[in-house]
Amino acid sequence: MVNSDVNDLDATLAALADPTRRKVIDLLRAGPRPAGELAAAVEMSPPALSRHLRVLRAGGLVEAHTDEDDARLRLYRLRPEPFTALQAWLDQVQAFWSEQLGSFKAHVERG
Amino acid sequence: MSSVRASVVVPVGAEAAFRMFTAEIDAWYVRGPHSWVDPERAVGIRFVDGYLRELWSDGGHVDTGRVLTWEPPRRLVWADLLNDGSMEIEVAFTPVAEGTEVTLEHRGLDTLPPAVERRIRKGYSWNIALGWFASACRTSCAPPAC
Repeated sequence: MVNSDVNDLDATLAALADPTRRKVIDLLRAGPRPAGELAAAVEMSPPALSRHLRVLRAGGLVEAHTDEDDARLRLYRLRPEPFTALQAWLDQVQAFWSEQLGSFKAHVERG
Repeated sequence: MSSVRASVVVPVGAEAAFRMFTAEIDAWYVRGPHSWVDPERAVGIRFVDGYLRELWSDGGHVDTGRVLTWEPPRRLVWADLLNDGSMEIEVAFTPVAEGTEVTLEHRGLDTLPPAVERRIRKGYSWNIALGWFASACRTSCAPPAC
């Protein structure tokens, strides 16, 4: 189920390390959009933006899909998987503090 | 999504709990590879001069937190100094029938450092960078995937 290529963390980070690509992510918060609209919104030529979209796809942050009502229309949208990775980290932080507090409790009980 | 909480109940009053949490942190802090900034050199941890400080075997140290609130016996807050985001850890000591409930909240986990690229080079946690993405994603990822 999980595609290790598109969830590669280095690629995810590399994809985020660029202001244009972060702008694209921001724009996609509002919902899926075609590449042409994204290019206009970031004031970039479609070929120039396409390079960025390729990096975002490779990083697993966005995906392109074909609109159900119009097969000619390719829409870009955010992928939830990197979000899942964040949740995994939150779980690790939570486990870290739970262990520390558990040790604190044992210390108090030892007197 | 931007904070985590953990809590325990200890069988002593709030004043003792606060004192043992702070003055005796070196006695209970769990040693482990993820517990230290520099696991090779780390020998201890303590609250000193308004900072949470990791002590090293060569006499050096690194301040991992800066104390923002020191209100014994009820409340303690420190700011994380290791990451460029604005993370805080707050510990509350609340009297309960069995003693004191100690609740820890680690918040600001979704704060994005301004220079993601630099952080990557420094080898800091990738997941903090993902926090920025998470906040961007929050409104557009359909449940239950998120």
